[in-house]
Amino acid sequence: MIIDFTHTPMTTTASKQTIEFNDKVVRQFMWASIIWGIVGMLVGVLVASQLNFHQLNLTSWLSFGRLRPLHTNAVIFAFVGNMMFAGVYYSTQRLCKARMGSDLLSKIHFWGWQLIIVSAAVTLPLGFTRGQEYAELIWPINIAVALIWVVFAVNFFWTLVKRNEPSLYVALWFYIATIITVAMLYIVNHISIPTSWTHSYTIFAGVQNALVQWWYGHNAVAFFLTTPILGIMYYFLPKAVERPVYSYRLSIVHFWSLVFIYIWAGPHHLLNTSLPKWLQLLGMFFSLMLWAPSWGGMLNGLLTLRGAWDKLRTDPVVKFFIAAVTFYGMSTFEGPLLSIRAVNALSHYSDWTIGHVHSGALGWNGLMAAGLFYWLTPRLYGTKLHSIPMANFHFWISIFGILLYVAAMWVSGIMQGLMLNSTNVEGTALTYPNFIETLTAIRPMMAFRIIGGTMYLVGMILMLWNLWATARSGKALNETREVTVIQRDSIDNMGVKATFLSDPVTYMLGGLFLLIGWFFLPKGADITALVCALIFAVIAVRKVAFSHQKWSHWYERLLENWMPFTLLTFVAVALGGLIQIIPTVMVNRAKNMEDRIQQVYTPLELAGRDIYVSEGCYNCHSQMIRTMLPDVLRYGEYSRMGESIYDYPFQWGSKRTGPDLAREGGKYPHSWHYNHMMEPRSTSVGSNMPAYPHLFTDKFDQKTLPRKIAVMVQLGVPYPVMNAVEIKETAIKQGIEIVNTLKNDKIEASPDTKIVALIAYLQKLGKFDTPAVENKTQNAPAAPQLIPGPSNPDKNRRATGAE
Amino acid sequence: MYKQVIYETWLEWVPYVAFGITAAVFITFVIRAVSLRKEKADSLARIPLDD
Repeated sequence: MIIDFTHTPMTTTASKQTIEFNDKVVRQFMWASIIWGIVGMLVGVLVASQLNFHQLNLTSWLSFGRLRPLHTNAVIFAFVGNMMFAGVYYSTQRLCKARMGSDLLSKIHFWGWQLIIVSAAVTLPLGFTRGQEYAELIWPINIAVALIWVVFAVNFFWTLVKRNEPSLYVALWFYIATIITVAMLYIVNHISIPTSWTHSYTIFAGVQNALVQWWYGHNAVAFFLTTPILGIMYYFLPKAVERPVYSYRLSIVHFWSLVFIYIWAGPHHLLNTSLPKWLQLLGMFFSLMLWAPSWGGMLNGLLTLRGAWDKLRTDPVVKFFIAAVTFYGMSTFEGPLLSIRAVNALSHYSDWTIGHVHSGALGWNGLMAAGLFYWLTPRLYGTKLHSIPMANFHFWISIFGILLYVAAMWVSGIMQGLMLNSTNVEGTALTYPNFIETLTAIRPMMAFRIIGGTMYLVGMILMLWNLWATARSGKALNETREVTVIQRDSIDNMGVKATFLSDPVTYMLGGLFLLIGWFFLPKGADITALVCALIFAVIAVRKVAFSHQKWSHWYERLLENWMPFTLLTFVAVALGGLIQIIPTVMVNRAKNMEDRIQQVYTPLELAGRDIYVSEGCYNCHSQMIRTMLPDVLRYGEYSRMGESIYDYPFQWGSKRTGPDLAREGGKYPHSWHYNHMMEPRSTSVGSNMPAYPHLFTDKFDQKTLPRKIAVMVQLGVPYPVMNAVEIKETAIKQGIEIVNTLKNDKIEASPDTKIVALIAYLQKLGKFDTPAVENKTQNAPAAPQLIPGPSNPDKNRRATGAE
Repeated sequence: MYKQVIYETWLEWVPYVAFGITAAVFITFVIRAVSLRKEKADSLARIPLDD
């Protein structure tokens, strides 16, 4: 299909027109952001308190495992999401000198998004979840999110089409990148097969699922919490300090390098795991190289204040913005640091990561939101801010709250990481073999976190009061402005040929294509690709020297053509993900696993696994023993790729508030698990795990089990042929076996209860088969070492040829 | 199409690939940014302030 970007001229006469901006939707999103922000942070303080006071897990729907996803989703999608939309709607109309494309779409977007948030607030505490971080919402809500996002996109691009400003300002580039990338990430990571209205299985399993999930999860941070807020920074910071951005040229380098590099960094969430090392290394390198664009953007923001530093003392808006940009710099320094494998060996699964994300979320996102709202409210209501001293107090209590929170988490994370990784001199025994010793050591720091978080929450409540009083003293108004209507044929007239068959794109994509060839081609051909890439680069440099004007003209035209700009941005963000994901998705099949294949779950174990996912156990327990000596000493042999190949979804986790469970099966008798789930402190003194009394009375879901097994078969899990009756009978039969074993320890239980299914699942963890050696695996290395050296794990993990 | 999912020699080539790709992107857009006319850059930077 050929797409023609050329628009039919609408008018050729320049004329003046008075337009009224749709500021009502901006006000709506702003209030929604503040209210949901307070709710999300209140839940945050509650879950932080639950970690210190397990008694606060009052009921099943108020337990940590169910509330923690509510906290993260509320803060990301409800607080920052609504704030982003407020900023985008306000600035896009001004930058385009046009009212939003459609008032109806604006309304649908606002109310649809709020409905999604309410649905999440109801379903997550009920235990309806997909079991993947920041992607927990169930499939009907996923569809609603995708549809509402499309409504937002149509409305946004419609505004670009009818704009009266020829050039697309840098803030709009960031919005474009946000819209298309979030759509791509969200759709790919949420592809699932439903088993009921409230449950589905993702189509990816194990390592594939891990890679896709963190491609999504990392880039949710990048393209939901960063790029739109950078767009907001590029618009509102110059407005607040009344001078243009420090360097527009720097913003060009900032934008393109950020959107291109960010997308590759996802695997840094999976360092030292069974993810192939080349992917880990790519994740690490691209994370490190993110320092450059991130700090370029930060400096561009800070230096915009040149000659106006006095405003920092007097204007709370500028205070919030500059502190936010400073936190952006700090957290984008810390992120790459944590992506270094050696550092990650200490920090991963610990509170250090929690401190890092909160310096970004509270510092960068939260303070940007506050600055934005203090700037917007007086203008949206035609009045002055109710109380500047109260805004200043909000600023200082937030700063102290963040610092207390982040410092406490740094100390907690590093301390626990060091304790967990500590061994004797010979490296044969752990210094702290009892996990709870390390938990007890960090409890004071966890208490400081509660204080820091509460201080930040108080600041948010003060802001609500201050802005509410401001709004009451004025009147809601929509700004009107006289604009010059531009000639439509002078913009958006760049066709496919002019976009893609131009020298800059040809050389850029050609060079990258050859580099990718170097990446994947067999020996000999890879060197040829590299040589060709270098020759290409030389030709490109010569072309730039001779056709400098032509290249400049092409880019200037691109800035006046939204569709080609959007497509090129899409190419930039899609490339990294494709290169990382496609090989893993194609090769990761059972027949290619080197030495171990996970045993298929029985129907009862599958039901137990769904309970594990539903209760959010992955929020505190990982199922991934890393290729590190302390992990192996503590939990057993390191995890292989093939050992989670039938896990839909994967449950590798990202935080160990409790120990890893990858080899939990068979470690304890059934009665231990029974007592542990009834009252964790009866078996593990000092544990902060919630009790799960409802599992002992609730029945596991037998009704949907046949459908679940059918979906598993559809996904390629080799279940034997069973009809619905056989599936249920098999489940109950295994339940009776467990109940009989429990009887030996004088425990009475019913075979159809959730606890029995959960015990069945926990006892299956770590069970695998050793596949027969096929021709293609004959050259694989001998059996792996039980305790690998930290530097050479791949020697034992070579995969064999794929078809 | 793809022969392996785990490469034993990853340390020998992945860093160069990562560096090469990033350098290509950086150089391209630095050239692009530097060659933008000053007047054009200034006028673009003032768009938010043109109220």
